[in-house]
Amino acid sequence: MAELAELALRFLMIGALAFGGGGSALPIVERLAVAETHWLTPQQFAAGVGFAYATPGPVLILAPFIGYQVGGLAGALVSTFAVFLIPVLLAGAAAGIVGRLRSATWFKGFGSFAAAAAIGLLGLTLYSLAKPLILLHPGLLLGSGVVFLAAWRGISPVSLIAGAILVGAVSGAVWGTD
Amino acid sequence: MQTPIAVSLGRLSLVLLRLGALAFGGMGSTLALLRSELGARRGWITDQDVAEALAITQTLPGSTGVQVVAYLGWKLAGWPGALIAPFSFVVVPAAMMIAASAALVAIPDVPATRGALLGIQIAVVGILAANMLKMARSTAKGRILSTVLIGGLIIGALGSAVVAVLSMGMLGAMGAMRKQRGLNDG
Repeated sequence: MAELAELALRFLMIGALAFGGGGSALPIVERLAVAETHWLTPQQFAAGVGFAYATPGPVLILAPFIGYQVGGLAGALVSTFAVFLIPVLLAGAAAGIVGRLRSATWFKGFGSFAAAAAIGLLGLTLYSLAKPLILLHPGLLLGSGVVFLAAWRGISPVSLIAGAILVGAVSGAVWGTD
Repeated sequence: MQTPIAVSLGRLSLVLLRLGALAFGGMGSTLALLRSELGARRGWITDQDVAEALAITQTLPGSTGVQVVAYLGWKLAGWPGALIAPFSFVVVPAAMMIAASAALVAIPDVPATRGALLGIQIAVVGILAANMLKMARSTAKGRILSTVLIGGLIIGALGSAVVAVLSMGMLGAMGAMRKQRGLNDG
C-alpha cells in the first residue's frame, strides 16, 4: 500500500513538472523514479525508454512500465492515472476557460523557459544512459551514432528499436556480451 | 466559449481507444491522426480546434499529445469527455508497456536476451540524442532560450532536475512580466 501511494505521489509530481511535453520529462522521471528510489536499474530504465519510444502513444507511457516493476498490475494502473491526471485536468480546464492561462504573460514566460531548461536536462539523461555503455566498451557508442543519424533522418523509433533488438540478440547469441 | 457538441461517451471512448493503438511516431503523427480521424472522417472537430488545442496545451506541463486529446474531448463532451478521451487513448500503449515490463522480468537471462537489451541501450542513446536536438531546434529557439537550455543542464547537473525546471520557469515569468510592464509604461 505504501508503495502504491508513493508511486502515485511521484508520478503526480512528474506529470505536474513535465513542461515541454513528455519527451522532455525523462530527466524528471529518472530523478524521481529511478535515482531517488532505485525502483529500476539503469539498464531497465534504458529498456523502458526504448519501449516508450517504440510503442504508440506518449513517451510518458513509461509510467506503467516502471509501475509494473514496483507494484505489479496495480502499480502500473496507479502510475498511469497519476502521470496523466494533472495534465489532463489542466487541459480540460484550459478548454473550459479557452486560454485564460495562456494569455497570462507570466505563464507564457514560465512555460517557455521551463521547457527550454527541461530540454537541456535531457543532456543529463543522455549521459546517464550512455555511461554504462562507455564503461562496458566505448566502441558501443559507434552504434548509438549510427542510430542517431538514422533517427535524425526520420527513421521511426519502432524500426530502430526492433533492429537493435534483432542485431543485439544475434550478436549476443554468437559472441556473448562479456 | 463554444457549446460542447454531443458525441456519445461510449463512441468517443472506442474511437480514441483505436487511435491510441495507431499513434506511433510521436506528436506529429498523433496530430495528423486526430485531424484525419476526428476531423475529416467524422466531422467532430475542425483543423482549427486541433491548432487551438495544441497552442494552449503546449504551455501546460504534461504529455502534449494526451492533452490535445483531453482538450478535444472537452469540446466534444464536456468534462466527462475530457477525462474519458485521454484515458481511452492511453489504454493500448499502457497495455503494451505492461507486457514489455512483464517480459523483462520473465525472459530467461541468456546471451541472446542480454544482447537484445544491450542493443536497446545502444539505440536509445542515439534516439534520445536525435530527439533532444530536434526539440531544442523547435522549442528553444534564439539566444535567450539556448542560454536557458544550458542553464537548465548546469543546474540539473549541480542540483536537481526539479529545481532546474522550476527556477528557470520563474525566471521566465519574471522576465515576461517585466517586459510587459515596460511596454505598458512606454
